[in-house]
Amino acid sequence: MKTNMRLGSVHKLFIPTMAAVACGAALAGAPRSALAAPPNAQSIALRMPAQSFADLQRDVSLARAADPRPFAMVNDIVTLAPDANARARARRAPIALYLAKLGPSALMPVLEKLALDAPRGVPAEEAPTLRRDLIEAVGLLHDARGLPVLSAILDDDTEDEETTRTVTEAIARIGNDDAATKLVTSLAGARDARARAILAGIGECRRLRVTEAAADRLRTTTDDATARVAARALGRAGNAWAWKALPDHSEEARIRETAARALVGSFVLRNGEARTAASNALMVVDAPETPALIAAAKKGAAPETAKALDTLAARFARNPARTR
Amino acid sequence: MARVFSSTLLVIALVACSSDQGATGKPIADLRADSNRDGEVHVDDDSDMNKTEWTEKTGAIFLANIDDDNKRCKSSSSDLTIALCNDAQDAVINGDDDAHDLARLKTRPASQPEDATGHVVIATEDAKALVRLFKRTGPGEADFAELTDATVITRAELESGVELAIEAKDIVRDPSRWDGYVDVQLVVHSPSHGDAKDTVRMRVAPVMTYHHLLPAETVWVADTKTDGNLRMRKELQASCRSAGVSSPERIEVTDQWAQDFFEPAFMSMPGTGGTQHVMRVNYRSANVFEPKRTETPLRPAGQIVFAMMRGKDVAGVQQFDLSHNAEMDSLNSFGNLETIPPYEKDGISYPFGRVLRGATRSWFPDRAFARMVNAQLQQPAIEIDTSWLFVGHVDETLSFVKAPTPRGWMLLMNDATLAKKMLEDAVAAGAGDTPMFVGKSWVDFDTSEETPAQATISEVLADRQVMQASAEAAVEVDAQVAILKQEIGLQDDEILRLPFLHTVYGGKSIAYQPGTVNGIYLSDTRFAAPEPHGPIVGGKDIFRDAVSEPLAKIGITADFVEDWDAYHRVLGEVHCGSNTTRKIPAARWWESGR
Repeated sequence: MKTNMRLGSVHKLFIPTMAAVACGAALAGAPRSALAAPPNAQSIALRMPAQSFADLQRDVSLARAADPRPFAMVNDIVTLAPDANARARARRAPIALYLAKLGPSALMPVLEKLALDAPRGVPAEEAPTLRRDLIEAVGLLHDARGLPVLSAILDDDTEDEETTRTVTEAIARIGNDDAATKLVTSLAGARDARARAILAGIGECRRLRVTEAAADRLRTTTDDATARVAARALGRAGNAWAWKALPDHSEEARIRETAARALVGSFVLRNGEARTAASNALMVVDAPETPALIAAAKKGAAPETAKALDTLAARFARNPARTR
Repeated sequence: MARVFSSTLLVIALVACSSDQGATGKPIADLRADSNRDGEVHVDDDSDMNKTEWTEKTGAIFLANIDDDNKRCKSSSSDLTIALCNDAQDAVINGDDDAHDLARLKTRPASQPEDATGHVVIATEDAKALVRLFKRTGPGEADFAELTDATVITRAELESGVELAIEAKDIVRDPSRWDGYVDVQLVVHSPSHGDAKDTVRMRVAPVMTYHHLLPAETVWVADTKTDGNLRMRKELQASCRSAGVSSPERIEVTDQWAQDFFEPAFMSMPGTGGTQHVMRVNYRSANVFEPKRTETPLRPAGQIVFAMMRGKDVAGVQQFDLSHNAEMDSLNSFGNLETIPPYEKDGISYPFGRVLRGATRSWFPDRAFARMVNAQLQQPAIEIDTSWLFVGHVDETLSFVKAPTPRGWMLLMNDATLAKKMLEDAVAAGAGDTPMFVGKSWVDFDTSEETPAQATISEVLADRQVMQASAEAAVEVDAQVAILKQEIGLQDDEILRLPFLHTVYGGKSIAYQPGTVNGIYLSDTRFAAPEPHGPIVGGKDIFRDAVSEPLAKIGITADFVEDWDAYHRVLGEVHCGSNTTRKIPAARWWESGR
């Protein structure tokens, strides 16, 4: 990683970042009560099981000892973030993607910044965004060692909705049994905005029980905003293209069928954006059962609904997500 | 001026010869404006007599005089006051150029009772505070003084005829407050013979944005002085040269998204000899970057609309709501305001096209700004869903180019399914190991030493995030296009599909490959697209060909502009980094029936 990235303020931010690295190294062996980490990191530390926290400290130390370069590289990107954001369209550069592109060796440095030593020298208004980028990067690395830190963040119901969505998505991307359990229990205990935030991130977990939980929310919610995000989540869980890129297909058929069934149901029940979301998600899922589900839904449907279902069937027949 | 006074003398002579003037001894009120839209006010015939209605066939027009002809406005650093200075700010005509921006009215000379006096008033209550009248005071172009309700027009003036001028102090922003129409009324009062009244209906010109088919006049690009920015500007300049367009004008700001912080537009009224008198307008985006700052809450680069661009026949307009949801702020950028070319459907014509914006009921741009744009009435907005996109702009997925078809233009759309198929076909042909994005990086802005973006075709197809986002993009763009098909009547053979894949960031979608649809249409035969850095298969970049070949079939050459470093990897492309002021269309808005 080049350190002289030609971005205006990199150099002046670089020194405190390096200091933070040194601080992080020193922290690794410190007792929990002695933590001097900024509030978010401290909050995570306090919420993590003691053994998990100790494991993390050990893993970070070992990783740094084995190869300090990824720590420096993550630092560089973190240092770059405010300036990159200032340059980016919509004022947010995809820092999470930059971090994830560093590969598996980025995991420990990123977890360190999340849980042990939050980035310093970052303007206050940038800190939440940068933290979400770190969280998203952990998810993109698909490494279960990130789960304790992410779970601690998800457990904190005082987190803002976007952070909750981001951390849910990160856990979903890890997607192992523990992740799935965490997501199902978190969603079960969540209502309103927090539930929507969890639903908005949950779709990347392609596990049947998670999909069933999302489908259940879609069936039972009376709130259109919740229905929209639940539909989108089911679209993601059943995303036919994403499944092709996954190695394990054992639950694919049932997940896509479960998603399609709930989405057709939602299409019938709702109008406006929620119905559109269901239609779009059905195309993305592209489940083979869809025509039969639509046909079944037409039986006894009101004329207007039947007409809308015909339109849906026609769209599905020429599904834009299917190769022409 | 000599011409004006000559015509006045002619009018006086006509009045003197006329036998019907004042024949009854009653006061006569006859106020005229350019109701027949020939650029002149006629009092010596009946050509401007159809003056009390305003339709596509008749009705006078005036401008919001909000330019700064003499460049007297000093730039303010406050967002709250920066727009206030313009030629309508005061009740003074600021020189000859300013006078030209005012539409004229005249009272028809007529003999009056001895005790007659006159007043000219703004009879439309909603318009009183927004419209100003002037009365000629001398022979000079700018010899006018403000005319108020209290201004008395003498009998002598009534008998010789009075020339008036009118300006609006603002454009229409909220039709519930003022719809842009004004009734100007002449009242001639005679204590001995009673009163006479006459009214002329006028309408302030709407502001219209330029659609893509109008020839580019000025291409704007921000000069941020980075290597990537320089490279893009250089290659865009070459494309402009090929298109016969002047080199891009540089804007000295640190915000490189020139597409986003301003939107070129115009308004016009009839000029003499069938011409249009045009005032260019630049909208400033309603982006609120620092809501807690009392003086400078808005996107700073937008100040150029006033500080740099406002001048002779160039106005600036801003409209914003500081309480608009900050999470939706990106929708206020003008990459999320494009203009669909003219068309007609079901007997309804849109000669200036229609505004295209990303908006849904739950995810929408600043409503005060949208209300203002919609209030112009000429380009009724079509809204599509861009909420699935991280940046959320219509230019990320759609564009428009001229085409030799009955409609005269085609839609360019992103097609992620086509992109995936191209890559799958390449794998089937044994090219799965062919790299894409060779030499490009995701992080380092100048080299690709440590975090290369390079990936093989097979790796890209195996990237679950890319595949997931691309499937969603294929479906969401299809839903966008379905709305356009319904509104416009577009057929499949009027759509060109440009392939590129998406990926996920922040839970939403961004272009993974350079978004080739997000280019600039520079001339009838030139489209400047971002360099796709696609895989070289059979000696060719298959994604370059996927842009060049379909465009060539409709007579358009694609130029590829390098924008990866400064734009693509921070979520934009060459279109986002530039802007275009275009030629004024020949069509007259006042004939549109809107």
